[in-house]
Amino acid sequence: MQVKIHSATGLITNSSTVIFTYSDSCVDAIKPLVNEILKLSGDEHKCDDIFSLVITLEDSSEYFTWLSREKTNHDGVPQAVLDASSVGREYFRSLLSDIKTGKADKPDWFLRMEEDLANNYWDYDMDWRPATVLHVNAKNPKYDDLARLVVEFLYSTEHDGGRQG
Amino acid sequence: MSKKSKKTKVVIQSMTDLITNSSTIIYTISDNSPKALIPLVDEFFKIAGMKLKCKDVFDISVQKDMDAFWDYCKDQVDESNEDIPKELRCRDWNKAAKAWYKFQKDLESGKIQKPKWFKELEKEVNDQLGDSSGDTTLVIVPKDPKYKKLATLLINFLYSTDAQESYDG
Repeated sequence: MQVKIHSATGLITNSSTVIFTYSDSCVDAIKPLVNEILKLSGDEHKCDDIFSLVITLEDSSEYFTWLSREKTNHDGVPQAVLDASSVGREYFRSLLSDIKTGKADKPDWFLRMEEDLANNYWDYDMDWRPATVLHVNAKNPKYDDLARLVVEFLYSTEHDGGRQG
Repeated sequence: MSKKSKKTKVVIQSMTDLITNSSTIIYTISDNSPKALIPLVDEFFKIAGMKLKCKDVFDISVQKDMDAFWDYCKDQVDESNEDIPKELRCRDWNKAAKAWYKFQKDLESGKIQKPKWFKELEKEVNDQLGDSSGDTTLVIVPKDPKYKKLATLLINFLYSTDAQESYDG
């Protein structure tokens, strides 16, 4: 059988679908929501007073890909992390955990790494911009459950891919 | 100049392995969102020291994308079925699309309740299309105007993520 192919990019064979979710815009959406919740309950706090909001890459291995491959943009990165020693990897994991839980701010080199991965992912053999995820951390244990439930609500939708045409 | 054609031989494992020149569409399915919303709103009232529950202030439902109904109606619904408003079953696709859009907005804002004919139509469409009929959207209708802004902000937040699709393999 002969099949006419319009272009090489028009042919997809036996591919499976991967969906990437980006949560970067969620910070702008959660703040007015939490502010409204606090206002309705007569609480004068604002979202930033009760929650720390952090966006990180969903898959931490993508950070390690950057750290092992990036050769020119290293200012500030601890040498042990660059050497990929077990101490360096443990240090990075601990830093990432502290960032996700709001215990540490992202260092400048970390921000540069994320920006580079978002804009130049193909330089690191990634086919798509790495997915991101929102972390909501309560500054007061009183709001722990609210923080957890807000995140569960945000990720309660599912995405499915299809083809049209 | 003589015309030359270049032939490329592609080994196809099966007919279902060949997709040509398709565009991608991503569906968002919100069927689990009510289960996540109810405890969130209940927790909010608990923190606020208010003796309210989510069900006291919001009507919550999940709505299938109106495109599914529009497609179904334009092809399969009996045009003479007077239970369905005329503008929704007309064969002029542009007019019908606008009418379905307005109907959706009226449902989402709580301006109208789901009519009996629509509940029957939902069952028909679900039976025929199953889960493969596209997006489902969370609808939050406040019972008191005081909570209208909260309902809007909850929806904005829920749909604040972006999704993109790629292919693996």
